[in-house]
Order: sequence, then structure tokens, then C-alpha cells
Amino acid sequence: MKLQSWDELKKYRDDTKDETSLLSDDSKTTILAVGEATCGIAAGAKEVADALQAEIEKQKLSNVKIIATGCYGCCYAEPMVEVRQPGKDSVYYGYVTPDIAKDIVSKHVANNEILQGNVLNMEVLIP
Amino acid sequence: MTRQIRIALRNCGVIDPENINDYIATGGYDALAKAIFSMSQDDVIDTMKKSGLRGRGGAGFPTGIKWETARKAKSDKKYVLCNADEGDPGAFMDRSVLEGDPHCVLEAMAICGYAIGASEGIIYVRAEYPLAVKRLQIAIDQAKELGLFGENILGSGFSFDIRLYFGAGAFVCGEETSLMNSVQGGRGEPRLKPPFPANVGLWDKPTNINNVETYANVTQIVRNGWEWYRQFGTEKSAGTKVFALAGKVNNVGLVEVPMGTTLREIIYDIGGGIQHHKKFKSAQTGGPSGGCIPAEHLDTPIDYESLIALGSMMGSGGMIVMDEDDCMVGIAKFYLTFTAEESCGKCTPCRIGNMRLLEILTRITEGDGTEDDLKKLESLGQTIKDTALCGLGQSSPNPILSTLHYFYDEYMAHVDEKRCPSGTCTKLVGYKILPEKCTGCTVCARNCPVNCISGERKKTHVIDQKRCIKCGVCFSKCPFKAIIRG
Repeated sequence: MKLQSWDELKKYRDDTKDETSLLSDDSKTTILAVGEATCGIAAGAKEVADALQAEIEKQKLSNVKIIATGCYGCCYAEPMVEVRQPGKDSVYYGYVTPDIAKDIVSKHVANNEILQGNVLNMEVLIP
Repeated sequence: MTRQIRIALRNCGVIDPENINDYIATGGYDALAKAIFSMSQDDVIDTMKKSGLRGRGGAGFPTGIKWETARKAKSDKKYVLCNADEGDPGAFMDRSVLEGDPHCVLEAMAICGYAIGASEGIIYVRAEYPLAVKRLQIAIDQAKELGLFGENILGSGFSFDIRLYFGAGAFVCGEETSLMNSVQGGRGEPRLKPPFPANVGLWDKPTNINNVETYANVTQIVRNGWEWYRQFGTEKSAGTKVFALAGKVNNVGLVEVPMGTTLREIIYDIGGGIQHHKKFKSAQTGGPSGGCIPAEHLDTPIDYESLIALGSMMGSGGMIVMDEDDCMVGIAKFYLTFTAEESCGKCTPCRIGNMRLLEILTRITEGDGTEDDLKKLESLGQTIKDTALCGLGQSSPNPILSTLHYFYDEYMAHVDEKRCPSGTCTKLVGYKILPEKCTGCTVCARNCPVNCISGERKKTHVIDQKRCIKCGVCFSKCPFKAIIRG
């Protein structure tokens, strides 16, 4: 499909926005964003993503989606996982191992229990 | 805590770079649409000029003026080039942008194409960045499928196409004229400027070439206006700058801060300070073209001018933090080894001059240097800077000149006392076991990688100096501090 005008681009944006990883407040999806830039992959992000997926299947969770993003800048704390839920502030986890990934799904996503010891605090302003 | 402000990195780590809908959902391609449907070519250039954006590849040339020159050049064909040949050791800003948000670079190149009247864009990207290459190609394909590139973009009549060209890894190809020679299939060698690429560029046609990070700022400037962009940064250096923080700092990674932020804020507040609570010695900015900034200048607000005044430069944004264990003569030698190897050999000052500098440095680090050598380093370095053909040679002596300036006493220790104060120049270092402290615990002997330490259990051990490789393992392993370095 080729968009033919600026209005068509805007309409396309509206039509597809629910399928994107940028959640609207009324969305029902939880997004698990894994940093998969070179730094993340080198630190084991693929294994972390696999562990997240396995645990989602094990817990039979629906409406949870894993996406691969780029580098969030905290290369020292890779692999990183961001839990993005509609209407809530994102929670960023650093130094994630496959075991921690499992806990992120079974505790945080399934039971709303944030793993405080693994949370990465940072202040970034996107103007 | 100092807050990062992210403009170039705004989508990195946020969107899925392999899904164009994510990028579009953030308002992506609106800047391109805004430019072609509601702005004239001169409007776009005017916006860029007023924004104060300057080249993020290193030299800091005003982007708007570059675009204007290319716009005014008369030709049937013009090109838009993107310099993604990131080569500074320890720098990875461009890679992260390309891997995390490829569309923002593509969109900016199309905006530039519209502004200067070009219909073809080429991204010169390192073949050593396979993931960036893959994501760029996916992004180009997805955008083409939606009619955001190619013929008649969004039905506007404006056509623009982008393709990739892979660099083979020569450092000099990050220099714009060498880069263009390389795209044309020639050797990666620079040519004289002027004429500048904006007039005589790729295939001798007017060409606009900008760095990845420069383009990454463009879409936000066009979307939000130049006044918006001006609120960040300083009078002469508007906006933000991405730094790749590396070396002996706790939080290695990418940071984006407004121009005018101090080194101390970047290294201590955002970077989390020096590893193992050691003492900060120096920050190297600008890679092999930059210099080393000592502790007394930690509070200087960083912008293009202040870094030059300190004998360094912005460069592409690599920032390598060094602590008390780093030898500044050794650091200068490390960079010189790199530039001497990467010199293309076309001009004499760079080809021969850098080699001579390296020989002198090697002499000094091996204990054969004299005070006269330090004078030679200074005068030869200055001569190379003044006479080399391109940016590589014009800046390659910077690491030496700045360390000579700020750490002269370290050079003097090497030439005068034949001593390396931080103990890293192996030829000047020796390890010795103090008999009165040695308990004969055998830890050193067991850890020595070349088995050159001998002695019976519970008796004093001895290092065979002839076989010692001066790795320092025994020194750091000895539980009784019985081994000294000197």
C-alpha cells in the first residue's frame, strides 16, 4: 500500500497505533521491551527474551507481548527489560538473567509484584 | 542528579526499530510531510540555520549553512550523504542510533533532499555494524512499501530514494572527501578542500554530507520549530550532544545532555563516578583527534569552543575516562599507533610525521627518551597539524600535544627518571619481592602466568627478572603486600 497524502499518513497512524508497542491508556496489553542493540545482545538479551517467552507460555498469559528495542543508553546494565503497562509508569530492570526474567513474568506481570532489588533508576527527559 | 535530555536518542530503547508503525506512531514522517507540504525549500533551510544545529561528527560546522550552499549550487543532480563510518575507538553513538531508530535518519535525509533539491541519498555505513545494516535495510524497505520513499512521496511530486554503501573499515573514510572517493569506487584518500562537497562532491556533483547524529536532530527541529530547539544548549552550541561514555567509569553507556553540561556532571552524576573509587585523572574526548582533559577542568561547561580551548575537541562524542592507573604517555602512544596505522599515506606530514612521532613516543615509553624528544614532539606535532591534507592528520597530534601540556611531569618522569608513575609502561617497570615481608605462601608463584617465581613453601620467593613479563599479577595477588613495583 502506498500512502498518497499527508492525511493518509495520519489515518494510517491512527489505524495502526493499537498494534504498536506505544501503548494507549485503554490498551489491555503489557509490553516487555528487551534492549536488543549490539550491547544488549552481547550481554545475553536473546537468552533473556527466550526466558520471558517460555515463562509467558508456562503461565498461560495472554495480552503480553515481547518486543526488541534498541539501546536505552545503560550499556553497563544490559540485558535490560522494560515492563510497559497501560496507564502506569514503566519499570526498568537491569542486569537481567534468564532467572530474573522468569521472575519478572511470574511476579511482576502476573501478580503486580515489582522486583525492587532489580529495578534500575534513571532520569531521562524526552522533550 | 543531572537529567539527560534526549532528542537524538528519543526513540532509542523505546520503539521497535524493525517495525515502521512504531516509528510512525511517535509522529514519524510528519516532519517530512510538513516540510514538503507546508514549507518551501528556503523555509526548511532557514529553520535549520536558525536552529543553530552544528555538525555532530566533530568539526561543528553549522548544518543550515551547509544545506544552503548545496541548495544554491546549480546542477542537474545532487546527492545527500550520511556519514555512518564511525571509527573512533570507544565511540558507539551512531551505531546505537542506527540500531535503535533507523527511520529518524532516513526521514531527515529525505528532508535534506527536499531542501537542497536532491533525489538520491546514500548512507555510508561500516560493514562491521551488521545489526545496524540489517535494521537500516529493513527500515528502507518498509518505508518504500508505504510510499515514504521512492517516486512521488505521499503524492507530492517529490521523489527521493536511499541506498546503503558499505565501508570497509578504513578510519580515513570517515573524512568526507575520502568517503566520497570510496563510494565512487576509488581509494579512500582525501582531496583538497575547497572546493567543498556542497559544490563539488560525489561524482563531482553538489553533495550534502552530515553525520548520523546530526540527521537524528533534524526531524525534531522541523517538527517543533527552531525556537523549540534553541531552548536547549548554549548560545553558540545549540541542542544536545550524545556521548559514548567508556573507560574507567561505572555507568558505561550512552548519555545525551544539553550542550553546556560540565564534564563532572557527565562523569559523576550520570556516569556514576570512577570504578573502584579510584582517582579521576583525565577524560579523553574526540577520540584520536581529540585530547585529554585533566581534573582541574572538570567543571568546564562543554561545547565546541570550550573543548577546543582546552586543546581537545568535541569529535563525534566518544568520552573515555581514565583513572590514576593510566599512563598518559601510554595513552598518547595508543592513539598515535592507531592514527599512524590508519594514515592513508597520501600526504607527507601525516604519513611520515605520525610515524616519527610514534617512534619518539615508543622511545620514551621504553626508557630511551630524552628531554630533547619532548621538544621534538611538540614542534613536529604542531607542524603536522598545520600542514596535513585532511582532518585525520590535522588532528592526529592532539592527544600528544594535550597530554604534553597537562601532564608534562609524567613525560619528565619517563625521560628524566626512567620511571612510569602509573606503572603501565612495562619496560620501565620491575617487580621485586621484599624478603622481610614474604611469608612464602606461594600465592605469587601459583598465579604467575610464566612460572618465573620460585621458592620453597614458607621461605622467601624470588622473581626471575629475565623471564618476568611484568604483567603485575603477583603484585595484585600478594596477600602480604610483599611485592613492590618500581
